[in-house]
Amino acid sequence: MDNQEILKQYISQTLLNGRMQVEADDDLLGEEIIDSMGVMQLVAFVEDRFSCDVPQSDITITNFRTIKAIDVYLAKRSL
Amino acid sequence: MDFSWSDEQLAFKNRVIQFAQENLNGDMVERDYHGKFSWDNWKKCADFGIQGMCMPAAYSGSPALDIMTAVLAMEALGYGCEDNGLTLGLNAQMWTVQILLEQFGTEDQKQRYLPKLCNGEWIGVHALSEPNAGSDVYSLKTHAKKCDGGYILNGSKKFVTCAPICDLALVFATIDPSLGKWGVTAFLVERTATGFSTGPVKDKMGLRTVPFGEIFFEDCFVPEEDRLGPEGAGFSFSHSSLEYDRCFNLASELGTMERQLEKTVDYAKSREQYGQPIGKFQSVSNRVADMKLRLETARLLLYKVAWLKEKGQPAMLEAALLKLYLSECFVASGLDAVRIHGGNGYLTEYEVERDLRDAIGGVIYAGTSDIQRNIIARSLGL
Repeated sequence: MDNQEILKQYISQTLLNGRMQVEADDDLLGEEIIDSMGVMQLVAFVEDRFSCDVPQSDITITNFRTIKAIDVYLAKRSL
Repeated sequence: MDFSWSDEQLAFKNRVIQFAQENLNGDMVERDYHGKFSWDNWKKCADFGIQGMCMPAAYSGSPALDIMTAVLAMEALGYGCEDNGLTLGLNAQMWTVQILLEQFGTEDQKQRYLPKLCNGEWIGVHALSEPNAGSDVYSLKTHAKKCDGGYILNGSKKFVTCAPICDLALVFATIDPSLGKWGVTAFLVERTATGFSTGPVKDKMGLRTVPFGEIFFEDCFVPEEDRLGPEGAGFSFSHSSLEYDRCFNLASELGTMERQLEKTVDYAKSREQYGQPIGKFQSVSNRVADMKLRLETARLLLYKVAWLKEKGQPAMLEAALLKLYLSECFVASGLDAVRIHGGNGYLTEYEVERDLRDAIGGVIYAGTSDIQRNIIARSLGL
């Protein structure tokens, strides 16, 4: 499973409790699909699942707005 | 998980207690009555090394302590220092201003501000809450409009600990209200900045020795180099500092609870009614037992959060459990202490009722008990 699929599955099934199926381009933050607490849970998941440390200064709309953006952020981190 | 302390840590704890007892407790009833902040005591704390204890030597002059030792020190301060307002002010600066500056500031920002905050010359405040942004804090309205060379701030802040006497404010403002919390950005603003002003000291129920108040920004220019971190990172900065603040400020409250318990046990042993110490009556001793149980269970939660932070792990759920539990325990034990002291406990001169008044604020500031319950429920998937 690629990163985007892993994130889609976690957000849809765990964070949103199966209430909706998110897509890679959905605006997670602007459309308030996930709230402040959800973001912190998502960051903790990303750190754990992808074995990386996400500094607080990286938790911005640019890096976490969409699943694609998170994927790009992770790709940059692994360079 | 190992909760045993080394001899060095315990020796340091005892030094903090001795320092606080010998230096910080004079004129407490008088200062509380008149709502007087003690600059002398603030400076004494800095000279002892309180404000700088977790800051690198380059800014504080002495090596930084690890988190567990710092928690123990703040617990010791709460035990030795009867001025709960002072400990709140110290914790607010250390864990919601200094730690963010140290973690996310540029070298220039750190050099400019951290030494002055550590040596007690300056007071720094965390300016987040607004008249219409309390529990829903990220709906804040203070606006930072981009301009040539920086930003223009307009808006106001409320319930800011130490605002009336601050020299530096870490201000959270939105660069674009349409982005919601993702537009929230942190700025370092000095009191001397044009367009920066503070309101009068607000009279309040407890914690009267530390001034609370408002901050106003009227076309206040903040240079680009005084933005802390990237645009939009204010939300996560603030969130991160809350976990530290909850941990350390509550450590001081735990120390106060221990002092309160010891004082209450002494009173229950020495006060006689019907020919025997009142502690022999189960209606009194049961209350003392409850106070002890609250103290020890709250301590376990506190040390767990400190341990998680020490390991660099997230502690959102645990910090919420701690904030909810310890602050509510502080109120319950404060009330028990007053009941056990009876009529004397109701008198200001016995210095028992003050701790109860001081405890009430803890179930409101830094996230109310109800907000903590919401966080806990969400963490459980509800």
